[in-house]
Amino acid sequence: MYRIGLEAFRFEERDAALYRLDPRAKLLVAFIYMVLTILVNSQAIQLLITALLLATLLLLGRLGRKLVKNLVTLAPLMTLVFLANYLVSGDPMASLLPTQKLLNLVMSLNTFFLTTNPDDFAITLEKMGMPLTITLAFSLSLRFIHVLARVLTEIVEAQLSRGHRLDTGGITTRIRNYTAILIPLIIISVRKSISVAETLELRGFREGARHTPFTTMKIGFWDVIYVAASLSIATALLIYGGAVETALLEILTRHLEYMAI
Amino acid sequence: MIRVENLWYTYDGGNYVLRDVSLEIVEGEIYYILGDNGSGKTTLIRHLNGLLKPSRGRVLVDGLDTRETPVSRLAEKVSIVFQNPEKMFYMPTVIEEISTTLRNFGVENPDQRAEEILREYGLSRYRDRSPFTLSGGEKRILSIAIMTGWSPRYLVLDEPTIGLDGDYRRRLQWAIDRHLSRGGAVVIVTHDMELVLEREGRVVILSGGQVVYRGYTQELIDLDPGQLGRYGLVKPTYARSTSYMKTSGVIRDYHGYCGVFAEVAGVLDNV
Ligand SMILES: Nc1ncnc2c1ncn2[C@@H]1O[C@H](COP(=O)(O)OP(=O)(O)OP(=O)(O)O)[C@@H](O)[C@H]1O
Ligand SMILES: [Mg+2]
Repeated sequence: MYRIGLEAFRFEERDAALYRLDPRAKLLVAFIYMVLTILVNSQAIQLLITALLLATLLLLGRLGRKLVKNLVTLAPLMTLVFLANYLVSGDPMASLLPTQKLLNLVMSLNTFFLTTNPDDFAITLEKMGMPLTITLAFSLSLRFIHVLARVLTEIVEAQLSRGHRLDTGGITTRIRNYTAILIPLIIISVRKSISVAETLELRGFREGARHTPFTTMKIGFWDVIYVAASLSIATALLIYGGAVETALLEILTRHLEYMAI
Repeated sequence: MIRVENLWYTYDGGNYVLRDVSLEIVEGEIYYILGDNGSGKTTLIRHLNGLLKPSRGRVLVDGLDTRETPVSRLAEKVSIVFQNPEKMFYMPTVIEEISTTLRNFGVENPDQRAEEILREYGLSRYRDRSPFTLSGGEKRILSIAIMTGWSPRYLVLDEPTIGLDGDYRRRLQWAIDRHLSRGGAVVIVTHDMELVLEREGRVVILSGGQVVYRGYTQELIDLDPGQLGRYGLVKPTYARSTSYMKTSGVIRDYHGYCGVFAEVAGVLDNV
């Protein structure tokens, strides 16, 4: 119950098409979907984007189980976004749009982050011209999140074993209970980051250093197909958005009518 | 009594880290859980106070099913001292670190009792220091002092001897003996064969999440070093000599001898 939901956002090796694509191609496609999601203001088309992303994640990434966990973790945030918009606008249908956008943004990011090893991600950034210091910081932080999630679980377990109750009592008890978790977490994470810095230094890392990447990347046939397909779908939706929306709405209403009858 | 019945556990819904583990922990007895790294020892003991709930099977603590009982209630009976003591510290001073836990479990006169505990464990001179500034061994003994303060019925220690030597090791032994003499049960997860051979107790060896060996510490000495090595255990030299003496008829059984040899070995180590 208190196990940290971060697991749902972590990369895990798997044998599926999406995992074998070049990180640069995946990053580009994630970016295309994000731009599309931000630009499109039609709920029907947002729904179509959700369907496309779902198909990508499920069929190409075989990420069904993970996606469920992922969305369950996100559900509170999506509810919050919906409620906040509803309170302001008072229109339930219109408040759905920002929630849909959030969902699609997260799923776009998922097509990249759930299927790409943090190390490959760092190499991708480096290939795009980022300095090594920044890419290294990036991949280290991504790993660090996972380490901290584990530390956090262990701290919570240690405190529960000492008889701390985390979700009962008045305000003062609650604050005290949370300090019991925050203090060790902060101290341990500061210590860990210092030891990472020391290790880097001992290994001879310095700014401006050059290195030879362990793995090399190559754009292949399927990478081109993946990018081209996403790009054409996105362009089509942006240009013929109006027509697609009318068609979609027609199909949707017809279905609803059938169901009503 | 704690009953672990056909326990299966998986963290990710996929591969099982514990496979059909059954175990009974009876008051007054000491249990050693051994096994190589990643064999599931820590995962098993996290089930004893309900931090983890079985994926299959069940765990009963004095008849209470851990799945239906809040951790706070189970933690009062089953005290677990984890591998890394730092993760439990958060109070500014050592003395408050002890008294706050006594309060959690409703011990009478917590402040006075905390002072006594400090003395018992030889920690008085660190009374007002921050727990984080203690040495590794001191942190470990402090975590044991904290977790035994309210006299829980079951004491579970995960790798308690790492970083402990000399005086603190003796204090740990003393804490274990006192707990046993009060009728409590002790469960120790360890790789430290010297600790295992110091007392008569029951042994459970895990490998790949399964119980692969059950027996008594006496019998452990008879296992050949190769077999122990497969479970990540090293037979101390003196245990080798005692088992040699037994097979060659110099002594009839191990009882008492191991302790003597351990002491001789200790003396030799310090020369
Ligand atoms: N929080 C967790 N999430 C996922 N997997 C875990 C978690 N904790 C442990 N595991 C995995 O479960 C298996 C058993 O781990 P466990 O910590 O119980 O082993 P152990 O016998 O205590 O090992 P050690 O002697 O190194 O302490 C390992 O493969 C480990 O990677
Ligand atoms: Mg362990």
